[in-house]
Amino acid sequence: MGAAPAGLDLLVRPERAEASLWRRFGATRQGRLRENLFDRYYRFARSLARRHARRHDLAPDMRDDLEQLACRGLLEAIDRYDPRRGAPFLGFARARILGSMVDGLGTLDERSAQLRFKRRLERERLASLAPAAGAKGSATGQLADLVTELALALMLDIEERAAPNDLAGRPENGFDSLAWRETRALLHQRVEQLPEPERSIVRHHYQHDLLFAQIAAMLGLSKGRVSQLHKAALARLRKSMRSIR
Amino acid sequence: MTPENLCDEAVMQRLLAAAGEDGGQGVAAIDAALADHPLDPRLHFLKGSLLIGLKRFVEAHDALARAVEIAPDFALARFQLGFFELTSGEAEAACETWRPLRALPAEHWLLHFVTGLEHLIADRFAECIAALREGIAANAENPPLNHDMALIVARCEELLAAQPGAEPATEEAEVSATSLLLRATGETRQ
Repeated sequence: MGAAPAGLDLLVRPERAEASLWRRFGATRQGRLRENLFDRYYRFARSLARRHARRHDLAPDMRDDLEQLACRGLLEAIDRYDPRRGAPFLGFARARILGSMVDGLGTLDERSAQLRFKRRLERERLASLAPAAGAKGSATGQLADLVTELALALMLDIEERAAPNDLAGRPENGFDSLAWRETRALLHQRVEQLPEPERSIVRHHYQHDLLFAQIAAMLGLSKGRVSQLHKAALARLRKSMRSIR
Repeated sequence: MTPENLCDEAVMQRLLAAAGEDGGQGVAAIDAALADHPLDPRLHFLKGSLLIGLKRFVEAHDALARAVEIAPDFALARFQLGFFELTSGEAEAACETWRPLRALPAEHWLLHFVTGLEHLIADRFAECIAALREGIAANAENPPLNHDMALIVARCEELLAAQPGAEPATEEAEVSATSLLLRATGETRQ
């Protein structure tokens, strides 16, 4: 719940605060509250996906698919859970998440699913970032902006999802590695400074691999609006990264 | 409170006794009484307090809010609803719930408690301590609630002295406070 004042911290009890979140979400269905609940349980969903992958000895490239399916199951569980029935959410969500993974995997071709999903994410990104018809500025300038934003998107894609010690896709020589680390740290900082809901959209799209439609459902926005906000966020990042060079 | 909506004194005493023994059975007994007296705010208030003890927090808020909705002048229920919201991290909602209590007489202990807790929300710890102490001194009706407020005073003092915090009051203490309040303030039947 953000930066609560110290005085309030003396009194707030986590179980009650969580119940309050469920109560208010049930009454309003607000996207911000749904997102808050998603954030609380995202790690749980991810751990179920990883455990499921290990137990069923699935190929490594299926893990992202599983996590994506787990996120979908989590969102469904959040929308359908009724805290007044007394059942704990984790038990309720576990069944939904496992169901989502089992159902989803059954319809996927193991070898191509990951590629299809990645391509879908990338298509969404490109469509979001492409200059609008009648956009101002020269074609060359628009192309330069697009290239920069795509480069930033690629960097976000690697950095927001990678484990801390995962070096895949990163520069190998010392100088480039240092420049990469500095740029990465700066980009991460700039993402955190983005206004809402742009920050949430970038985080959910690149860190949680959520499609625009899923983010839209979570935040109570249209898919088109999420696409616009994604473009605005990348443009903002491009400008702020340029200003510090 | 509207007298014709209230259940018999004997029924209320029986419910309070049941509530003191077993929270779950107490809630069931209150629900049975509510079937006959759905507009008795004391029943909703007592139910909310028991549900807090059972950690059924969403339903607890429903019940406390219903008590205040039926009887907007039920000051004790209004205070407890706001306090519950405060401990749920809803400071703005708590202040909004408490707003009508500003009309209480200046020396009323509930008003001192509200003032103290609003100081606490704003991190004015010294002012919080002073107001809560005034409330504790003025409150002869409900020692358990004084105990809860004294715990907050102690925690504020610790914070001021930059010492580690103490444990908050338990949910059971809030239930006992509610039972005692219902008995002692004569709000079981007006």
